[in-house]
Amino acid sequence: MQAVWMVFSRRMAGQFAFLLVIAGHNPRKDRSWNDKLYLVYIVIFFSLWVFAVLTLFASWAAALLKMVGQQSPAVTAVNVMLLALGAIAAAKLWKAAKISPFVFSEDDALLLCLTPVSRRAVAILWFFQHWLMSVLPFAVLAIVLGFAQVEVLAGKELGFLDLPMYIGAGVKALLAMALTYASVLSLVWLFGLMRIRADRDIRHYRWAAAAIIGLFGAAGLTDAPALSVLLAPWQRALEAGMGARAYFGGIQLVGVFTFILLGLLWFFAEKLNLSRAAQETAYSQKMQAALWLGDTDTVKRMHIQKRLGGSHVPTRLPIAEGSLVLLWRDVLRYSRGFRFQNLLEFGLILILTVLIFFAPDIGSWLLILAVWVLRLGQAAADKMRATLNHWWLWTQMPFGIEQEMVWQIIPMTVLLSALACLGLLLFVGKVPVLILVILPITIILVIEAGIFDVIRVVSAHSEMLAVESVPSFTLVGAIVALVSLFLPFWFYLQPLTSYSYFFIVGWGIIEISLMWLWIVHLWKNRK
Amino acid sequence: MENILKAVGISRYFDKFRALAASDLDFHAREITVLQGPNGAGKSTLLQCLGGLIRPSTGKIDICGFDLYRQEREAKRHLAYVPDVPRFYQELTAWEHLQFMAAAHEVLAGFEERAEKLLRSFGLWDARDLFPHNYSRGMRLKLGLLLTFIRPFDMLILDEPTSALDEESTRNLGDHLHSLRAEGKAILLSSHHNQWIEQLADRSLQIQNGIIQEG
Repeated sequence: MQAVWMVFSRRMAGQFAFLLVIAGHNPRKDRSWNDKLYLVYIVIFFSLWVFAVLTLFASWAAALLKMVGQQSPAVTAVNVMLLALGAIAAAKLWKAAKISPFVFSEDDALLLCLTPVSRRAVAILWFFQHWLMSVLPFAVLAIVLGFAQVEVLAGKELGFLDLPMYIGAGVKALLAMALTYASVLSLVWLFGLMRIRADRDIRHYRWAAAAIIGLFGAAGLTDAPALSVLLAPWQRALEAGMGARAYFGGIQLVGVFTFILLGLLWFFAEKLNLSRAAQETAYSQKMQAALWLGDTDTVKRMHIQKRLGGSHVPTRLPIAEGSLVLLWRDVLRYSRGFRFQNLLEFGLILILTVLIFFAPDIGSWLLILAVWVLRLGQAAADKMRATLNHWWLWTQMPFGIEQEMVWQIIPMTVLLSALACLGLLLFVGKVPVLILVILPITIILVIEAGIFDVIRVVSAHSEMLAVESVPSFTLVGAIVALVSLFLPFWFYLQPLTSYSYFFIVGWGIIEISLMWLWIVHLWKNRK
Repeated sequence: MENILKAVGISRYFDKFRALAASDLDFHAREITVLQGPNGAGKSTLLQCLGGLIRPSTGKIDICGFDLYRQEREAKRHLAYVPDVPRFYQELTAWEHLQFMAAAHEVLAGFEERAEKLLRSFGLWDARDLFPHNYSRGMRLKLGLLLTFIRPFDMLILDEPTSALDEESTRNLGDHLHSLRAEGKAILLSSHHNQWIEQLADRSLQIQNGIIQEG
């Protein structure tokens, strides 16, 4: 038990410390009285802030409960909570039929799975941790609906004296929900545990999951008494939480139910196969850890690797010698690493590219321009990051930064300009020559600003390249892009004369060249 | 002897920490130089500086007469570097990586025969269509070496090339390095594999606390 408890407590302490670090207090370093006072301050501040946010949500929920109107607000609230619980439980059950609900990191696997620790202790502590981490959205839902109940039933503006009743309703709803969620989760975990006991494989386990989901779904959708008894413990507890039934009487049943389920979990966990659980969950644990740390690069890389699988027959894409091979590389990388999210992102940039020329007023135009610059600049910076993040490979190619820039700017500009013009043709029926002239110039300027932003940082800290940790797009890049766009758009907005094209093209070429030279200069003089 | 790489006054600092003291170095054609020193002595920093991965804080590096930073493209044509843990594009297979490198260096003529020969000699032929993230550390190192051998170069820098290789592959690498030396290449490598480097080395450099001495 001691080894299990040590690993478990370290995990919990680590996650708690991480949250405190985000709030600005590092429990490992900050030990002075000032730091302790700050800790008290952030606890009070966040408590008040969370309470304020919850009351705001509650007022919206109260308005919705009043609007629904047909039945009592408590019944509606209970139905909403049952629906949310049912949806999550169904998803978790489906997943538990294939992947262990017990998630272990590589360290856990090394420390626990290969040692003769008590499987029962692991099962109960891991269940408790998962319950604690995943109950939060349901807790928020219960508190908000509990508060909303009071607001609806009071039928008046609540005052300071109503605060104890208001908070009491939230706490009651929270406890009922926490217990209900624990029983639902223990049922799911018990189901998952039965699959990974010992080494045996249970075939068609997903059919069993589908049958259970179907059974509970039918119980929720029909009024048949034989089926509705299945949901009774949870329904009664939630009704008690919403004040629609005696509180302790209501939660008693679900309490007993949870106790029995946890007892069964403890009993059957004796033969829990930890190594198998660790094997099944290594990937999802890595992904969870990356998401938890906000490491989007790792998340993206893992998604792509999963999709790519093991191997691929050699591409039939024709390859050419020289710097054109950079385009070959990019086509392969984009086509194989393509995600639906990329399409949405490109679609957004494309729509904004067209909308810039049809904004109804200066306010909307500035807003569209700012979002366009941010999205396109980000895309350009990401492309350059994807190249420089393979720094060793890059140093092995006989190309300079100029070739990389050429093969980044040309395809992006041609594709975006062509599709934007096509969009204009389809929806407006024509492409004005002035737009045809200004469009590629502005696109190139924003792409250059994105590249500039990356090169600006790595030129000051080239050691970043050696560890393949290239920074992302920043506000500086966006400002550079907006400044560079000022004159081309100013010329564009002036009354059209025969000089307009000359000024836009002339100034555009000057700006593009200056930015190009600036980037090359920064690159060659990197430190 | 023909001078391939010439470094004048190169040093490297990380903030105030001196990883590499100012040094002048020359590497010649038909010469295998071995760099030795304890962990943390500055071997990788020196190799990364010479390989163009880290810019030195001071000094200048010429490869075949081309400045590594002012004439980057020309210099990179003559310089090859393989780290101890190479990283690859995850979307390209091993075969496509070789194809990519050969095309970049404009040596696609006869690519398939050369690639097959190299892949077979390093035991990667059956794994040529795998994505590198499915490779073991040793296989990645071999692919890193093959990406270098598929293209022309005059100066080859290897950082701990035997750290993840089995005995047979290490012997095989030694044979390749011997034939490269015979072709007139300059080779600089670091390794803790004493017996292996004794058979290879024409010249030895010792590094301690960032200070380099002929050994």
